[in-house]
Amino acid sequence: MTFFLPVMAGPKGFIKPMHKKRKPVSHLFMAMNSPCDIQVDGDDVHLARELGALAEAEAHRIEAKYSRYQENSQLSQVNRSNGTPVEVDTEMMALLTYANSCYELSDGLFDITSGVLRRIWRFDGSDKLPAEAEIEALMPLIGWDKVTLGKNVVTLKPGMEIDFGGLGKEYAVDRVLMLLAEKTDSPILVNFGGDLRVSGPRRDGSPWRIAIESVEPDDPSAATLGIKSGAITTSGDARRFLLKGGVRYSHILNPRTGRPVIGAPRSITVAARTCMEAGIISTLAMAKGPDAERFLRDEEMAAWVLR
Amino acid sequence: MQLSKKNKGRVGATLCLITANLFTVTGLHAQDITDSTNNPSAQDSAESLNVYDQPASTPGTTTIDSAVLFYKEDGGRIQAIEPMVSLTHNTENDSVFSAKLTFDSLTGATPNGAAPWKSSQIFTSPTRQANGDDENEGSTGASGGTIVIDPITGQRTLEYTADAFMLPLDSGFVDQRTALDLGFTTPLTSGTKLSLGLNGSHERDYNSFSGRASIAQDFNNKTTTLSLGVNYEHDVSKPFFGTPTPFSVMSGDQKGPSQNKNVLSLIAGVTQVMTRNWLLQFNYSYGSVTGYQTDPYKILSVVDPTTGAPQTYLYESRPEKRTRHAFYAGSKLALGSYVTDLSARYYHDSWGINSITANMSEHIPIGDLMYIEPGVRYYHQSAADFFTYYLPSNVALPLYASADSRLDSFNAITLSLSGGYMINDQIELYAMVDAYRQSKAGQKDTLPGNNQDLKLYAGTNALSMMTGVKVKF
Amino acid sequence: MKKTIMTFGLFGLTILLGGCATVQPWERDVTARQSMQLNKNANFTSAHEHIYFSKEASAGGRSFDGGGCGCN
Repeated sequence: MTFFLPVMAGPKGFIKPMHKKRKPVSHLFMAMNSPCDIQVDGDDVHLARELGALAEAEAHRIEAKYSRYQENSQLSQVNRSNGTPVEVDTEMMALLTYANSCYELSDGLFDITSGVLRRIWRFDGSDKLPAEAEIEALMPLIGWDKVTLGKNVVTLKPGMEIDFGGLGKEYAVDRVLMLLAEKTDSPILVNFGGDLRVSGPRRDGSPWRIAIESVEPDDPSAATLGIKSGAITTSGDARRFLLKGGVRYSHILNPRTGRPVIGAPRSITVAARTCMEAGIISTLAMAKGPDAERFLRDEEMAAWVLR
Repeated sequence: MQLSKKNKGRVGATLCLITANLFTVTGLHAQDITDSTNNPSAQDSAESLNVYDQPASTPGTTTIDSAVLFYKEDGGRIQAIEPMVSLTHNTENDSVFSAKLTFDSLTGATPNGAAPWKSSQIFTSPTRQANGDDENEGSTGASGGTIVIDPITGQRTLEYTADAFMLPLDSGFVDQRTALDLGFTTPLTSGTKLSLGLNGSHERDYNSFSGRASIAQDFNNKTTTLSLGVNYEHDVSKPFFGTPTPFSVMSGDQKGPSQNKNVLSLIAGVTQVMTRNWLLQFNYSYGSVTGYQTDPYKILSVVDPTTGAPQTYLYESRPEKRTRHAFYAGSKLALGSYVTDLSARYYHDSWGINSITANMSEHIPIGDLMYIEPGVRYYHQSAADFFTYYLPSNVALPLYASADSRLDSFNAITLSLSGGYMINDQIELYAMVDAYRQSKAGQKDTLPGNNQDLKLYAGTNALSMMTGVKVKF
Repeated sequence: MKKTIMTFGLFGLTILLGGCATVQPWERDVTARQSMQLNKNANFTSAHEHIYFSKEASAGGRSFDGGGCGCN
């Protein structure tokens, strides 16, 4: 069943654009394990190519700095610190401070130290749940409150790791969009693996049409969203779960219990002003499990919840 | 569409702030939004609900806009029908060419400036020749005009009568005006726009020509626009009987040659995008008018200082120089698809007239394709220094005097309703109706003697209606 | 002298307003709307200005103060 929060319904048969739709110029690349797409709604192909290259460079810069898979990333240095303080630059510090605020704001439901749980939870659709002892062994390594933030210095407890998985891609989308919007007035769409943001409506004033698989998988005609401003992100993945004894374990883990959130929707798509805000809200809504819809309604967010 | 939104949830509002802060700290856009009211709401992020939420600019289109204005004053005064048609072409590279043709046809009666009296008064019609072919051009049976032939000179004069106790109106007022306006706007460099324009207007007794140039420059990520403009206007007044010498006695004689007036206008303005949905505009305009500014058709009653009885009628006299200053502030605030428009103006000129104008209207979306906009306007002006309802015969003539009701002190209220409807993506129908009501402000003067029942104030009430269609292709 | 003060006034205002500009280039969707244009319907505007110019002593402010007709 699909739970549809109101007010996002656009009128059908709206005024058609004045001219034949000119296709935006698209620039595709891979970054952060995701297909990335930069679309520029303008006639200047040369400029679009230039902007695409700029976007690609910025995405790779962010990835190289904040990826936990790349050994030389600044993040890997922090994760390898084994209890010693690590000096970080302003940008990293700002992101850590941001993560800190999100942790406080969510009463610990948003925690970038919870990534270590992925060592034992593998959401491959199987029934292989980790043993109780495995979870208990990891719990001391989880908890943002165990991290000390100083002035440009971060200290983790030995064995702890930080994972920007819930922030990095969203941050990259926002950064890239702002960067490109400074270079051109042409409308732009930045889409990193489904986390996306637009600079404004298309040239003819129409919304960008975006296919979002998880919004309405059973109804292909409703599978596109119109977006004229702001960002859209989707949390949840209908294919990543564990099923044991009739219980469906979502791949969203509760950092406080070390276990998947029970009763979470299959996916949540959220529209917000920036990709970061949309991302945090959709992650938090997921973590609320059965209360996801109520949380979104209380926050008055435009959202699509798929159960 | 929800209009009144509760405060957003705690999490959303805080996130908005910390996200803004993050992008400030990380060096991109030091001025990112810190205003949580700009947090996107569903209706902002989703498709807009009303056609008038579509962007205004449409490069590569041509628009033909035609409309008719009907204007009617109470009490058989001026009536006008004004058809207009304009052609606007927006090029792909943001240049705009425009041409507008307006045709104006006026008939009816207009106050001649004389004070009312207890018995009927006879005036010479200044607005048309009483001989030959022109005879049926303006005068009508209803106007009550009579042709008087001077037995000695043979000169024919048209006279009309104002009834006792009635405000004297020149009822044979007829005029036609044709005006053409050409405009061109082009971007010069990024953020700079140049606009040029020409305007010509032709009436049988009045011609006006003007040229204008203005430049607009964007600042602060295009949120601030400064503009400067200059307009120069040259007018020629050529009444049928010539231009009368100030304070000469009303007569049907041929008078002086045509007279010129020049107007130099400057405007400086700033438009500021305050938030995502709020615009402010401030303008200052300056005008310097030199030359003939007297109304050649307006007269003044010279009255007996004790009884108030009219003794003679003199043509009015106005200064040859007038300096105008106007300060204007406007605001447009969008809430959902609603837009509140507020504006105010303060005006001062060297003739001693001060005025204030306040305007408020609300753009209300109706369904997907329509809007209506109710509005109210308040206007107040003080009288010109030389404004007077009459001249007492025992007092020496002042340098300047006029009884033109437009120079009197008065208040005016306009109630208006306008609206538009987009039939399809190319055609918009629109209409407007305005009820305009003037009333005397301040002390009500009376004629000398026991004449309190004679109303000197000559203000008017008017109804205007406009309907038009705009076609874009 | 008066003019100098005026010019300063305007620029002062610009700097002041610029300081609180919080609207980014990609957030001009609302102010770009037809309903938000300062001259939304040019014929309404010109009809109003024409009528008020012919019935009142004031002119200018919103635009140039010339009249272009013998109606005042």
